[in-house]
Amino acid sequence: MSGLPHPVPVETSHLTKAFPAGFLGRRRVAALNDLSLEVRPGEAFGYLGPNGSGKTTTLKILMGLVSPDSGAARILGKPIADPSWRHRVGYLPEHPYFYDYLSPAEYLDYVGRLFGLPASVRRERSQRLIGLVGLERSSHVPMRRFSKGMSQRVGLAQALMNEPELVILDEPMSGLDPIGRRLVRDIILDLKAQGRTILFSTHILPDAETLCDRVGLLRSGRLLKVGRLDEILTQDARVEVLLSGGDAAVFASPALGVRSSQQIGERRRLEVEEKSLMPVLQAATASGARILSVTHVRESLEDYFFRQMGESAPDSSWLPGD
Amino acid sequence: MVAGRLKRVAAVAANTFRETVRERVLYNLVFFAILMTLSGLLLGELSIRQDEKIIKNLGLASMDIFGTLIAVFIGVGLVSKEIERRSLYPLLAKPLSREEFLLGKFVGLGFTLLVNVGVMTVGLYLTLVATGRGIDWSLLKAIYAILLSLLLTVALALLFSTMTSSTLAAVFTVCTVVAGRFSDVVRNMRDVSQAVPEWLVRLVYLVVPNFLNFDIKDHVIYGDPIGGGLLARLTIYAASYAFVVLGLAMLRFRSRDLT
Amino acid sequence: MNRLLPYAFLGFVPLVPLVQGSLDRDFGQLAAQSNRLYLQTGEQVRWFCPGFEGVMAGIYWLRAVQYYGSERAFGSGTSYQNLAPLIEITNALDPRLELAYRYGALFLAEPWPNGPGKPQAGVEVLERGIRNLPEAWRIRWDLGSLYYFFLHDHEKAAAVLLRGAKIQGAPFWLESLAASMLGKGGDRATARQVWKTQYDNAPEDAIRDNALHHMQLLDALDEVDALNAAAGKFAERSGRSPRSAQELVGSGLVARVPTDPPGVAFDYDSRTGRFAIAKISKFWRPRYDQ
Repeated sequence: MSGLPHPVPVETSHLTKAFPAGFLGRRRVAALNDLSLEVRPGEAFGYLGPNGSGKTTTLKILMGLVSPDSGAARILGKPIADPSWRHRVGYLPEHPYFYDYLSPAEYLDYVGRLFGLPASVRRERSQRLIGLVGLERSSHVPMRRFSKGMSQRVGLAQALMNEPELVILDEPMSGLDPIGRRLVRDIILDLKAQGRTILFSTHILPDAETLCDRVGLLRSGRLLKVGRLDEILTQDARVEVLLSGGDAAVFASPALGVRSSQQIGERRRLEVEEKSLMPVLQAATASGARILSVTHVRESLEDYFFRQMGESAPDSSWLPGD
Repeated sequence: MVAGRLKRVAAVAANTFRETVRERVLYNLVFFAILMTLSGLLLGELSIRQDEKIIKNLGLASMDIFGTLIAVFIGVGLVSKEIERRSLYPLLAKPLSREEFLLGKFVGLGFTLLVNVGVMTVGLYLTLVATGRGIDWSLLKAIYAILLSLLLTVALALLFSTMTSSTLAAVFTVCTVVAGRFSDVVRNMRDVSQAVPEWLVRLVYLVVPNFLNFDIKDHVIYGDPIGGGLLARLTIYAASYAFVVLGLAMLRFRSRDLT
Repeated sequence: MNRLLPYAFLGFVPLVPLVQGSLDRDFGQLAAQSNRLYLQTGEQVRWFCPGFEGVMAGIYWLRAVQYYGSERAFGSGTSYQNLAPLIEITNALDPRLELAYRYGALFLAEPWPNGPGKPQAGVEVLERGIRNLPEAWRIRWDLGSLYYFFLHDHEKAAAVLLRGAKIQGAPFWLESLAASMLGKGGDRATARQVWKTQYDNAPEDAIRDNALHHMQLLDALDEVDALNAAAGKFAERSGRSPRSAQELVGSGLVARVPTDPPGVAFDYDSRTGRFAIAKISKFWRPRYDQ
């Protein structure tokens, strides 16, 4: 399927899936339509799209939980049905639920047994992973008491128990507070640095922006766009200006070329077209503002997506941030 | 490869057993203990041979009933609960096949029942000894038959669990088990209604699992001869039927989309 | 290998009916040796199943029928001891189940070894039926027949039938039957008439078959009498009894070697010079003067 010599970690070809819906399941709701994509070795691929666009369905097809109506998929060069690739892949499902009556340490031990890992390896790895996800203090507490965020961390830990080459994560940041999100981000970056491949779905765009090499945008079961971030996002020449004080009414006006203006605590953040930078800065200092920083920015992924969404029929369930 | 498969099945089985213990299933043994104690104390009034038979019958019947309740109500949740709560998904992502998962669940609950029945057996013998009766080893034959019927019940519960929600699966399993206990009525249906054709009666009789086969309590208590041959045949029946049911469960489970 | 595993399991399907068959045989034998009723009376059973008496009555009736059948089939050393209690429990659970009274009494009255040979117990069952279903004339008819055939009490039989004839909806012939019982009591002509009435009017196969059986028995007895008369004539002529049935035939007194209706030849005892129903015939009874 692909021209690369080395087995591609993930490739799908014309995947199609429709689910029965309605009374007696007569109606068919299309979840995926002719989806062909690939994930390259060593990259972090962000699979993006609004709720209900088919991201989770795709990942479930890859993991063999759901079977496609037509089309094919391969993981690490092998067909889905082949059990051998499962030793090399880790998976975090959406809304993970583990067993109430087990502690994280026990659960990871169970997972380790399913991988056929010997006891000493299981012990060592589960300790390390529990530490990695920041659950040392609760490692022997039954998961019944865990918050969503804690469960999510356990989920990440179990996905890494077999030190996988390929990691597939469905909404890895969901349920996490900013500390948790930072943790997951760091883990993903770390995995990438180790040469592993990561495929993850998310609808928290800023995270995708910082982590991904390439993204795929899914809408209503169809892949709208795939590519490197710096190819997709137009280098719209814009500058971000942080300042404090001054009279915003004077300098923060669209007439001057200010694209957006937000007050964040004591500071104000402006996005200014590059060509208007000097006049705005002058107006600001003239009104008594103190310039804190000036940086070039490119169009955010958020803007890009709203642009894409806006081009066709409106799709309701889009959450830009968290 | 086979060793790996067995290890995985064992891992699932061990976890299932652990689950039943931690979810306090074995507390039913407390009720059993109370029942045995009460019957041992209160039945001293009746004539010597009568109360011994009643204690034995009560003990065996409790094993049967409690065991069946556990087999049905835990059994139907084995798969459907895992699907409903999605705890199954991260596990199936591992090199654990759906077939191995099912087998592991079966073995795990089977082991729980073995332990349950085992403890009850000890309790029953203790009661008999404490009330001055001797140890009747032939009771073990009836207990073995009960265990076989419980394993078959688990297989049925598992099958229905792969097909539908826990609640419906419980209803279907209970209906099947009850129908199975009326197998003699089914077989002799023509005595009541000649309208039903012979082949249909025979077919229904063979298809419905004959749980009456395993009810040898009265025979054992009254000292009828139960030979090793009969027990062997009961074992083959239970094993064959259970294999068929598990095979069907595997096929059903295999084709199910886990959305 | 995973793919094939379920099919391997399904391969056990043929074993199920095979083993069930041999288990059925095992249990059939066990049942014949041991059939215990834990709860001996209807009241006890009713206590256990409030609201389900009808179903339980059906189940106990089935048990009674099976029990009767299996005692007959598996034969030796059987005592039918649970039959009366099973019937009583059925009646107590569903006092309106007419056929349980009628068949029940029939089973109980059947002489050994085809039944327990307890006509008095049958009478109790039918009387119970009369108490609970006073308008059921058929039960009284059965009771009359029972008194006549099994207990040889012609007067009581006729009295019961006459009482029954007074019930609204009872057929006209109950009275005439009562009359002939009173008048001729004990002879085969009346008996045949009573059985023929039953045969013509039986609503269920089992009752009709039973009547036919008894009519054929009477025919067989008539044959025996005719044969004995012929043997007697032979003895008058030749001064001794025939040495065998063939000899009698050869003498021309009898057209051919007679058999009972199904075709079993009659026994001939050359010492006494008398014919009798063969022991292997299904009509043989220890005392068969009915």
